Amino acid sequence: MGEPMSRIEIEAALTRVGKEAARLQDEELPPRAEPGAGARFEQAWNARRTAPVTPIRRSLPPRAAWGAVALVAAAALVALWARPRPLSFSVRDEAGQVGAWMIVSAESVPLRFSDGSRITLEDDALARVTNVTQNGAEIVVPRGHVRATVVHTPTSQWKVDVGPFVVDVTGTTFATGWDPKEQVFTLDLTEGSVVVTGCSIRPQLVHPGTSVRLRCKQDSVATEPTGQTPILAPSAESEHAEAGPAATETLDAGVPPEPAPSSPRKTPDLAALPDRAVDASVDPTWLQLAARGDNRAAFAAALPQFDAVCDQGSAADVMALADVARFAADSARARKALLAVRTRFAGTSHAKRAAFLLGRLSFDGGAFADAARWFETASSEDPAGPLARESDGRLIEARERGGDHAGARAAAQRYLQRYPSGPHASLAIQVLEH
Amino acid sequence: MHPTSVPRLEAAPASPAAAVYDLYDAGQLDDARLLRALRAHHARAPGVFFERFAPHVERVLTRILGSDADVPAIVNEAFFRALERIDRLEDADALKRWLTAIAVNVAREHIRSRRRRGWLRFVGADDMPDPPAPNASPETAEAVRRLYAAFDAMPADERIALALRFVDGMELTEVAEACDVSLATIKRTLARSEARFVAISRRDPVLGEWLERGTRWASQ
Repeated sequence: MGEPMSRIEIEAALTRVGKEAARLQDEELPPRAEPGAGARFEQAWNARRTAPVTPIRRSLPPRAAWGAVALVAAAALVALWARPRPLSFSVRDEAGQVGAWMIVSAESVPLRFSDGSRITLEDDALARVTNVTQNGAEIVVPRGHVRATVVHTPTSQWKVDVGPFVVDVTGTTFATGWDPKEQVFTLDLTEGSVVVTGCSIRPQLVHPGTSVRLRCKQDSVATEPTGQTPILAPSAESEHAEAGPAATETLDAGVPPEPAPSSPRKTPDLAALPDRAVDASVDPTWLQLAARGDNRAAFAAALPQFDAVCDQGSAADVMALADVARFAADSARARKALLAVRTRFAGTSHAKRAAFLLGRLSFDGGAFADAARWFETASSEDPAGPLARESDGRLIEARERGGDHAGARAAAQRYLQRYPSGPHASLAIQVLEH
Repeated sequence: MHPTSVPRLEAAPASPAAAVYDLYDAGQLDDARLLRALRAHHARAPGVFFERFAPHVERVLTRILGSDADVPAIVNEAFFRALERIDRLEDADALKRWLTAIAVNVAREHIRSRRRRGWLRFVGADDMPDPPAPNASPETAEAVRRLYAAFDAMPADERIALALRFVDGMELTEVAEACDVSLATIKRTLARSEARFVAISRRDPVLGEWLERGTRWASQ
């Protein structure tokens, strides 16, 4: 590629690689909608149309204080009794609905969760609870402020999406918000600790007594010191990248970035971090390399902290670690990371995906019986999930290749009943005819 | 016994709900009648609409986004938005193109949202590239993966234009319509994006090799 290319040459080359991409994609894409897809979409559409946008207008109805105490006590009892089930929550006196938007037009509105946690939506906030598990919930706040008191348990997993930032919580008390007009993120942490990500900043561990104010615009992040507000720095990669969008991620003028940590690949032992307001030694280099598709480099960068991430990282981080290991062809480490997700985040969507990926790893390694067990697990744990069809199809392959012909036939019959025109339908028919 | 909100369909159905499906199954419900049913808020029309066009929308979105676990959700979102605006569409012949433009717009929002979230949105297991298709050579699969990595480093409008033009193979006019811009604008966008793509590819040995081969192929 020494000489400049003409436009015709560029387009010819793009056409060539584009056609290859399309060909590969078409092998995976269904030629027509699955049977029942229309009916399922109608259900989703009806749910969307009828999902209430709840205008919450006036102040809380008068309630005796002991009534609230009784509610909390009841919620705690429910949490103990119904531990394996997802948390429930209420909006004032009504049962909360996952996915329903709430617009707060006067005073504050508390969301009470069955584990005793409470998220209070402040005036003018727009929010909705998008997911509830037995260990926590995910709340999306595109506008406005919320206050949160999250009950800590060993498995707590709460996430608050505030504008373009994400606050990962295990147990704490904090207030956070996003002003879409000014593009300003704020966080005031009273107790515990949280990790803030988004807008290409490093994952930031925030300690108690800290106020954070961040501005995010045009893919850049800038700090706005307010009193004792610490400075959060964008990733080193975004400052030094040669080209592409990362190169446009600049700090606003006059706001110095925090110096790069002296030992950037230090194991991120969160518990051992010094007691600083914000610690920037949680190094995301391998994550950013993975995000750019450079999995070999990501894997090399992740190796020194591999075990620590498996033991202490978030579910998303450990899944990412498994992926970089998988794509670096280190299936042993990929398996270790996936098993860590299965153990540490059982019941979550990450754990379900981990089951599927473990199946693939086993299959690729020729351990077909093991692969079959994982595919079966993936399908049974999330029978309506995005990987169910693929798991069911691969289960046929795994059993057949493993010599379990009777099991393969059973899986094939089941597959054809559920996905008569699915990508593994022809294989299923072959297995049955054989 | 037709409710006022349900159009009279030519098959004189026993029940309006069955009519759409019967006609659809028989391949008799053309886009004009489907649009009328949608605009009249026929209860079953959204399902027919989805079944008819979802593969097309999924294909377009996959061309733009590559292997992305969010594609099914984005497909749904595109249809939701289309249904919310269906009253604005008059020309049934434009139904597919109109839906395509909506899907492209939703994809653009997704790309920008993903970029704002930086690495976080990239690290989900399903966001990582899948293993290559069974009959793809490792070299080809790697080149395709790098292609989308290069796309990820480009502004949303430019990557969309490139993907529609060179991966999906749309004509220039179709790309312009899908992107809801003029022909002149899309030509300028493509020129910019091609130059940027080449600049990015020069730093990537795999893509560079593919470009080199394309050059040789073009000059033959």
